[in-house]
Amino acid sequence: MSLTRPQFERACKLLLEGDDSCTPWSWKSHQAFQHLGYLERTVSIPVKSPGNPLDETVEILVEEDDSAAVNSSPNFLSWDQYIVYSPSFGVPAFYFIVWDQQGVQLTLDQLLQSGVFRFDSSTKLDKTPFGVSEPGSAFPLLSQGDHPVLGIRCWHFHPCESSTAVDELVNDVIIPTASEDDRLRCWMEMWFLVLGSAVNF
Amino acid sequence: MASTLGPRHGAASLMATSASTTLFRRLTWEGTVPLEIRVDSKELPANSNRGLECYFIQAARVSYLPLLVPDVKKFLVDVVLDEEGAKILKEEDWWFEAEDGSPLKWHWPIGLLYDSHTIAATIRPNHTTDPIPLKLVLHLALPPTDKLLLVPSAEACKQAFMGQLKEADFIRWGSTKRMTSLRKAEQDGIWEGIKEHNFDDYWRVASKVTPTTIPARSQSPPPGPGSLHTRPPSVDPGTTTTAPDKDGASSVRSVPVRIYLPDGPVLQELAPPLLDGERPHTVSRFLTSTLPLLFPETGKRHAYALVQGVVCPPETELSWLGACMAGADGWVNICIGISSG
Repeated sequence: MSLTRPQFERACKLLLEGDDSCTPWSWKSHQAFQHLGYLERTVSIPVKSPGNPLDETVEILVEEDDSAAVNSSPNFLSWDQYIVYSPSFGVPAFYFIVWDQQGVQLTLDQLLQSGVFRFDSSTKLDKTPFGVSEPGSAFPLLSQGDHPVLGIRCWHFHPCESSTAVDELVNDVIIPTASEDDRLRCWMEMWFLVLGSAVNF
Repeated sequence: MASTLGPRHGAASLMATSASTTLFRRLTWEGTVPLEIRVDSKELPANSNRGLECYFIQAARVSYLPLLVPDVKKFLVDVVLDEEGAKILKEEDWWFEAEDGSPLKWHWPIGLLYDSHTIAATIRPNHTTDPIPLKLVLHLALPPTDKLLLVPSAEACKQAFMGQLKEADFIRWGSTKRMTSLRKAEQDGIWEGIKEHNFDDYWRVASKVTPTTIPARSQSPPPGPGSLHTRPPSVDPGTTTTAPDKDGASSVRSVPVRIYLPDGPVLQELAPPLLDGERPHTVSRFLTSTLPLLFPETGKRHAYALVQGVVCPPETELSWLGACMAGADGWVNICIGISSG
């Protein structure tokens, strides 16, 4: 199932209604083109020290209004996260930038070391300075792209394969007679689940 | 080479191309724009020939800035730098700056960068319609660290380009099978065609994935030599029915098209080749639905559409643009300029 842009917006807003994460998402739209909207939030993540992998049970998210205080701490990275609509593939796509404590953007190597991803060490990945690919895949798994609304350069996970995985999960969970809203909400929740297998939300 | 066989005869006949399609593809390919690349003088090593650090080039629209780097480097080494200066050049620190001071989107085709610069000028007071070079600053060092910046290497450029080509393929057909079914040598061949600016090398492979137009009945001259093109069965006399051209420009799900504004986000909406399955989807109708204030259905229009530097007649069909005037990456880039007065 692919989503239309209005369906994406509706799905995001349904998601916001039930968002109980430590750092909630917010819906933003372009000032002149209101139909171009996206979810965004900024979270802080502790800097991984060498030889001490990030413990998944560590409470890594802080309240948004404390982020300024936290970011001034030398031990945290700032992670700008965006969920945008991919008009080419008709699905959400995850765009992000990670900044260090000096306001410098992390390189790909630094990102891979940061604990942002859940890449399994057994997963074979082809890495270049500008992206990460799974062997034989048509598109890079992770590469740079322009944020579809803001136009800023970000890292992003390629959305092309997500629809199939999400549809399978949704069909297992949702009943055929579910309402459109229930289906959209479920779709977004399952999309986050799929993305969460690669990203350490 | 005429063929009376059906569309599935072979790879060549799948993408039968008329002479007019080839003509417009060649015109697009041969289009160039003026660039002025100035090296930031603060970053020139000592003993450089200051005052000569401007490189002028009439660059191919379908090419990319990183592919100009070797020529720029040669110019710097031959004309501007002394021996010591040439030794310390580090291309991995190079980056391009646009006129507004922002890092340049070097992953955009050069033609798009130029047309974007053209339409940006239309919202400035007292702008001139005379073509002026696109002025870029090349920095040899100190890339900004607060913005995500990729070194403009040819390899990174190739990956970005191939991604766009596959994305265009997906938009047209709902899958990337046409691109992924190409052998690696063929996929590399598309990029080599761009690097070497060789029309035949590029289209030898691109014709397998790019939709083509249905040629006019029997009036088209025969295809030229060195081409894989054949006439489709519908042109041949005696054919009583025309099989649907499943690979034709009107058979795609959507034409890969993006709209660029003088000051605004890049817009991308579904662009089916036919409306209601019958009427050709024209530029006029597409822009009316996407930008109704600038392109009202009736009344005065306050803007115009630029494709490959050409002001697009409103009745131009999107499917035709997708087949004949897309960039090398498969995308039709419509730049919107604001009309003066």
